[in-house]
Amino acid sequence: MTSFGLWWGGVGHWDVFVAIYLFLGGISGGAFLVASIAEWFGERSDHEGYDFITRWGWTLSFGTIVVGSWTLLAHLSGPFLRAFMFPVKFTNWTSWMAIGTWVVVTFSLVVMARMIWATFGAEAAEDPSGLPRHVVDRLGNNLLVDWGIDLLDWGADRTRPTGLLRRLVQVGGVALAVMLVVYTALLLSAVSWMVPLWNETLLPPLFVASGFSAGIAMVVAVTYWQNDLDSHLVHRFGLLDDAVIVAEALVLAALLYTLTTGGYGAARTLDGLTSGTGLLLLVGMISAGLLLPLVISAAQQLLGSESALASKRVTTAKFGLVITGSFLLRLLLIFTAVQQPIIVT
Amino acid sequence: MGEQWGFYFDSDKCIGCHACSVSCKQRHGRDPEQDEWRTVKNVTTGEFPDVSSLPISMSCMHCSDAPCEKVCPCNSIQKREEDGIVVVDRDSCIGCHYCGWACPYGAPTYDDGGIMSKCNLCIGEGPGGGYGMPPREEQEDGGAQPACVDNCVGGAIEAGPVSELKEKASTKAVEQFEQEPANVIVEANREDTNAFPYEA
Ligand code: SF4
Ligand code: SF4
Repeated sequence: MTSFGLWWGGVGHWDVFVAIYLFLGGISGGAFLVASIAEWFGERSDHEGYDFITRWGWTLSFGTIVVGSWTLLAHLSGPFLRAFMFPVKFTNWTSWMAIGTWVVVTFSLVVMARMIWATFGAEAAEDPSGLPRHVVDRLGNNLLVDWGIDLLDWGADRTRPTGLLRRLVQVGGVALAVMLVVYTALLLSAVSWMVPLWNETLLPPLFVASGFSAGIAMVVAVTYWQNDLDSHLVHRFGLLDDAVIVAEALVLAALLYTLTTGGYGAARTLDGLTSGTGLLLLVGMISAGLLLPLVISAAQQLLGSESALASKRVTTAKFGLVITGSFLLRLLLIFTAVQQPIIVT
Repeated sequence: MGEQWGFYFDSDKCIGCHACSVSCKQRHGRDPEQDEWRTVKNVTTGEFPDVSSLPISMSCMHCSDAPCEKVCPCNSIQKREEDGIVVVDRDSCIGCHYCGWACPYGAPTYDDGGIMSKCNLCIGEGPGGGYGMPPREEQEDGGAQPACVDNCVGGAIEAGPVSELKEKASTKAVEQFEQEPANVIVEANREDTNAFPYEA
């Protein structure tokens, strides 16, 4: 007869702010990747839609990482100001939290620079995709500091890299965006030996796929409405999104499968995912983030671009579902995570 | 590297009276309602109808390879070279709770200010009391006896240099100890017992 008891430790060490941070970090990295892809195509085509997507990509990537960084600070229960001392305090290079903080800082600086180079200067866009410049202009007028926009225009034109340096910034930015999303996964999977749901092999690809698909959804949806993006381009990016969603679904399935063979902690996690709030989150995430967007895309393909299902509203709703699914995934990973028990025999 | 200190626990001698956890709270001024540097639980073992309840008293294990120390971004957690006691620098802790996820024994606790504190093997008193203290000394050399050891009515908990604890323990308990990262020797007198490893 097996004779043992299980001592379950505490759960729920993190709150919703961490889930929001992981979601925003993912979507920020994803938006950066979309902007980079659009920039690459834009350099080889004279379709202005790529420029709109690129500018919105940098702007949304910057906005989400700024808000995300604040939510990260909001989850800390210690003295708030202590976290701002991170350049001197975060010195443990075996901790993904310390490494990741520097990835976030470096990424934020790069995406801010890319946003300023793309939206300020002599050739600044007058259309809505030049939002950062419009905001600075409006703020300057209200606060009577009209030299601010001149300074940014002047600075953008003088610092914008060209030639090889420009290529380095492009490639380095993409590497940083991927690192940002991967680190948000590694932050969790660093303790995967204690938390079976945070599988160290599967979480990084899952986060990259989820962040990228949500990034595509957010950037393309905003550009679609703000700049009346050509529906042909929306369709192409939508297909890319679908491919990423399929990859995400496969990784998620593999992650759930690992829970069927992972001992007591995994079994309890699976119990949590198949009942109550955990089940709601799982079903919500799979429906909103994976199934419904793919069903809508398939229907659009079958019925053609003239059908009601291919309308701007339905396509935007599909992108909204992808973003919701990405957030539900982070909620699920934080709130259904269970630590391994101590086995008392 | 100095002699590593640890705990010794014999569940056969534990009656589940909570004297250890209560005295710990008193010694360190912890919140009587919340803070649990030392926890006592009755763990049900076996399967119906052959079920029994086993009292277990547990605190920070001062792990030989402390996972909490590895994840703490601020290096606020330190495994001391001189005596192996794992201490917390509360002045640098930011309250990220990362150590809570990494600890296999649920040892870190967080007070109202959000800062982590845990058992310091009574090298100091109060939260953060162990940080920066001189190396642990035995009671006869002036070192404080840990409150839990002092107050355990059944003599189930002992603390001291690991080499001394090993001499008191059974071969099976020592073998088990060698396989675990925890710096605690768990007595395993019962048949088929292998103490409390944490892996599933
Ligand atoms: S028991 Fe937990 S808090 Fe104590 S040293 Fe080990 S990991 Fe750290
Ligand atoms: S809560 Fe404090 S001690 Fe624990 S990992 Fe975070 S900074 Fe370190």
